[in-house]
Amino acid sequence: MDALHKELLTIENLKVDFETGQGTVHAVRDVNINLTTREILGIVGESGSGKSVSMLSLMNLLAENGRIISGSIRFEGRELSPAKLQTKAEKKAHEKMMMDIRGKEIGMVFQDPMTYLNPVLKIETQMTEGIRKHLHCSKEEARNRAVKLLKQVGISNPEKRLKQYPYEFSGGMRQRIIIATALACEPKLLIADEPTTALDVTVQAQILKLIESSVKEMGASAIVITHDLGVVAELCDRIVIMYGGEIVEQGTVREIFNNTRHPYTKGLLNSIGKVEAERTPLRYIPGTPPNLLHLNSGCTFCSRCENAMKICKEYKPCSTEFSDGHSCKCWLYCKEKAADIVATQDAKGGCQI
Amino acid sequence: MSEATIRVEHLKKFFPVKGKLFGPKQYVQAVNDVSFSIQKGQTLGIVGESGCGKSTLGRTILKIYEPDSGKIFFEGTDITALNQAQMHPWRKKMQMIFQDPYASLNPRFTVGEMIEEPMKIYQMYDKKERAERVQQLLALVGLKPDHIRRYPYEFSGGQRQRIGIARTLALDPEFIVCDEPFSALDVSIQAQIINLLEKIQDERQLTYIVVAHDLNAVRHISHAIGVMYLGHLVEIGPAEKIYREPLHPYTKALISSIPVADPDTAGMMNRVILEGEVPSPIHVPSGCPFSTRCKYCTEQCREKMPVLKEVDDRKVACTLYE
Repeated sequence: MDALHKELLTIENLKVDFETGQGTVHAVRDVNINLTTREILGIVGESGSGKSVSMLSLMNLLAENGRIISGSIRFEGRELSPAKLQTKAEKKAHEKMMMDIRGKEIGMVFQDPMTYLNPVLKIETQMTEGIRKHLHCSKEEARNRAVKLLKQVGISNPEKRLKQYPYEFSGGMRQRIIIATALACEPKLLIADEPTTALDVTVQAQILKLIESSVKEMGASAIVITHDLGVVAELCDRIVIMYGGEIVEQGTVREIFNNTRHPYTKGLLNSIGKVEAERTPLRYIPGTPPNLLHLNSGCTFCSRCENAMKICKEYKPCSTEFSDGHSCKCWLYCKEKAADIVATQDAKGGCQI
Repeated sequence: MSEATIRVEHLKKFFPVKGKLFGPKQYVQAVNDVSFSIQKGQTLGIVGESGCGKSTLGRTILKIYEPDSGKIFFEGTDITALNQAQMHPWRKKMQMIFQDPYASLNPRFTVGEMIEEPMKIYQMYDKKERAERVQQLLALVGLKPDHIRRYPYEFSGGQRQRIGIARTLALDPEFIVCDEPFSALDVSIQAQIINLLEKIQDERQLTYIVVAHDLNAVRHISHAIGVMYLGHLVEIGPAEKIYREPLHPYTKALISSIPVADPDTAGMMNRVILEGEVPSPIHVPSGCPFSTRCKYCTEQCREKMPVLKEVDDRKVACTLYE
């Protein structure tokens, strides 16, 4: 780590549960993420893999039935996880701190630009609210800032546009407005949750370029959640692959694409298809994602994995480190430990051996 | 060449919109002068941005919407003028797979009832044969026999899409319009459904129109690709040709916007990023619809809509190639 890249965010052993009518859903388990300044991190996974939940817990914006059970989230030295808070006063102080962080130090862009903006408020009201609160400036100054931001994200005639309502904008323009709003207070971290999923490819290309250039200009970091491996390959420096609420592999973009380790990541890369081969069946991952209500004791991916061994069903795989910060949780890469476990039979919870 | 399964000539579908009280009537020009044909056993992928009329085109061909002008031929027979009752026997041969597997299945029907329903409507087979066919169809799409008594809410998105496909196949159709069949599914499940659709097509010589905005998914399944922009077909031809060397400036921009899942080439692409937005389909620019965003636009483009012209095994509507 050099002077340019300082530690910004550290998530350690994050565990999030949701209480539902059918039981407890273990949505996120043992998630560890590091992010340095000026870095763009991509989180990739299918629906239900816990990627959005991890980011919502970081912002303390989980739904009412969701709870951070354990783990720590450190953002520039401050603890954001409410897991250890006891008294009411502590919780209140924590919430106050979060209010200052949300929107000011961490900006967030949500998935669906059609529902995220309030339909009965003018764009101006929605854009200036955060600016006035966090930067303590007058209405006039806030409006000038909003005009500048809209220009930056490529919306023409911003003075007039500020007076309009969301329905007067197209999907791509709304997403630009949301990005402009998220960047309004120059956050140190921008979290974008599937920022282009609802948009057409031509607009997607515009928005990705916009995110990249504005983050680089401000010297901020970004976390981009997506299921599109093409998007990460173009935008991100590092990738985290999530499956069934856990991180199965992480590393630099080049490492993940060129030296893929985990069978799930391999399956994902295969299923997007190498298009040269004509009409040969696409390779795919058989089966469906795991039910997070009823987890087995072993690897969450083992029921769909073509390399599954006996041990995979019973013991959690431990994490193996490769070069360049590349790590992967799979028994294929720690066969010696696997052999030890099979030999002794009494070791529990793979990683502790 | 034998008779095409589907042939469409100068198809037009406009939807009236509420305009000014005494002003001229206004229309959304959803499908405007579209012509093409598909041979038996082939797949035509229709791509374009949202609002370009690709779903309307699929629905108009099935006569879910009445076309305003133009002709639709199914295996050589003109079906344009048939009314709903006259369409009834034809519908057996022309079916549809819907986009949203969560909305297109009736939550109060069991899977078995749902797959049997079309056969009941067409009074095909007796009760015992129908039950057998339901089992065969379930097996064909990769579901288990005991799924027959379950309700849609018990299934995942991919499984629901399989149920929808089984229901569509119950009548042994010859032609299926798939309206965004993958867009609600995860990547790994998408590949399963693409493989399934291809397998069924090869076994039964089915003809597909696949409407999609996901250019990667549609590339694998399609033999030919048609690109639509504001209701017009701007380029149509063999899929590989269109993806490798697109000719129309809009197709070029569309194809080059696809994110490449390869970090080694990602930065080096000559990406054409379009400026601005798609104009409203109510006020379509005069002349070529793409002229307002095209960097090769000339005086001539603004005046006259270029016609689809044969260029190097495909058809392109652009003055650059006239």
